[in-house]
Amino acid sequence: MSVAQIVVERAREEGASKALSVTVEVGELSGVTPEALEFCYEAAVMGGLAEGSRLVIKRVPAVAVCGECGETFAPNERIFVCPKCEGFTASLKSGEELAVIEIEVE
Amino acid sequence: MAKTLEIRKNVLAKNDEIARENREFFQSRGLAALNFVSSPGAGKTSLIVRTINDLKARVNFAVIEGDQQTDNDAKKIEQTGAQVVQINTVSSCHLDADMIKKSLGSLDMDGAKYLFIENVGNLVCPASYDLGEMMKVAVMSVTEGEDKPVKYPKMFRVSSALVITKTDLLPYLDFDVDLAVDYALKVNPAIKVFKVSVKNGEGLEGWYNFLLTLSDAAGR
Ligand SMILES: Nc1nc2c(ncn2[C@@H]2O[C@H](COP(=O)(O)OP(=O)(O)OP(=O)(O)O)[C@@H](O)[C@H]2O)c(=O)[nH]1
Ligand SMILES: [Mg+2]
Ligand SMILES: [Zn+2]
Repeated sequence: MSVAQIVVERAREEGASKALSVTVEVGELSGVTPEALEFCYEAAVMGGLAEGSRLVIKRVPAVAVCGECGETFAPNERIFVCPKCEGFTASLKSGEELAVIEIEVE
Repeated sequence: MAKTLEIRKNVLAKNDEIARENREFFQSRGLAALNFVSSPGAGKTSLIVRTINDLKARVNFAVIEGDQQTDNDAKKIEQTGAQVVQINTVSSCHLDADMIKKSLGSLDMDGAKYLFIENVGNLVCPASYDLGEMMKVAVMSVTEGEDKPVKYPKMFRVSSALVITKTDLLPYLDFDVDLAVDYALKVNPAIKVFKVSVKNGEGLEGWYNFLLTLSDAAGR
């Protein structure tokens, strides 16, 4: 799990001795569930400077844009059919994020 | 004294970095690396085994098998005589570039022209993880819904080829192959489609011819 790697790397760069909290952005369609992430995170930070830190998960809703008519819509499950023109070429504008946003260290 | 550091680092960025190294490695060896993705049970292992058996007199293969648990699939591959390494992803539902990089050490790929990577059966996450492959091959069986490509558009968009398997079962099903192909082409007009049966061999010629052109491309 590389969320932990990113955290530890950055905290070291700062000369910090401990990470207190970590904020991540997780898109609705990132394929990562908050439960799985929490579980992996806890295990991954064990024994390191981020052990015991709080994981704050920000969910990002999925937003798709139709390639044909430009309509913006929330894709229904994974069906990316445009509700306006029924086009199939919509692309995701957001919803696939998996990023470490900030960390609190001391 | 606590302070907050802004990071904004994409977790996948690290994966992409390693994938780039893998890709360079494959290219430097003229190895055509294919990442097979599908829903569970679509027929990836069967397709890989049959392909190797039918072509092994002409070319050598190496295989990386990704499964959450067990090495059942790796054992099936082993019987073909091809080199195989098993990765158990355990809690992860996909292979990532680092797992591939680490497993490359246990394969002696001398003489191999193809590296087949069987991903974990899942149409969601594997679409986001570049392994450094030359292309992704989506496998879909006629026992699934025709609308799979529309339900998982990302996977079909990032795949260069689609193998529709188990066509021997068509007489017993209502599956509309043309409709499935239509859907796939709608989300990815460039995708190359092959309709095959691993059981009776139907359609495999076209798939093999396609594969053989890939090795020429990689060997250049
Ligand atoms: N009738 C028929 N059955 C097939 C064909 N290809 C595969 N099967 C059967 O489908 C089942 C699943 O095949 P596998 O090759 O194990 O599928 P897989 O995609 O590797 O499965 P996972 O690795 O578990 O995701 C097996 O029982 C195969 O015998 C085919 O062309 N025709
Ligand atoms: Mg398999
Ligand atoms: Zn539209």
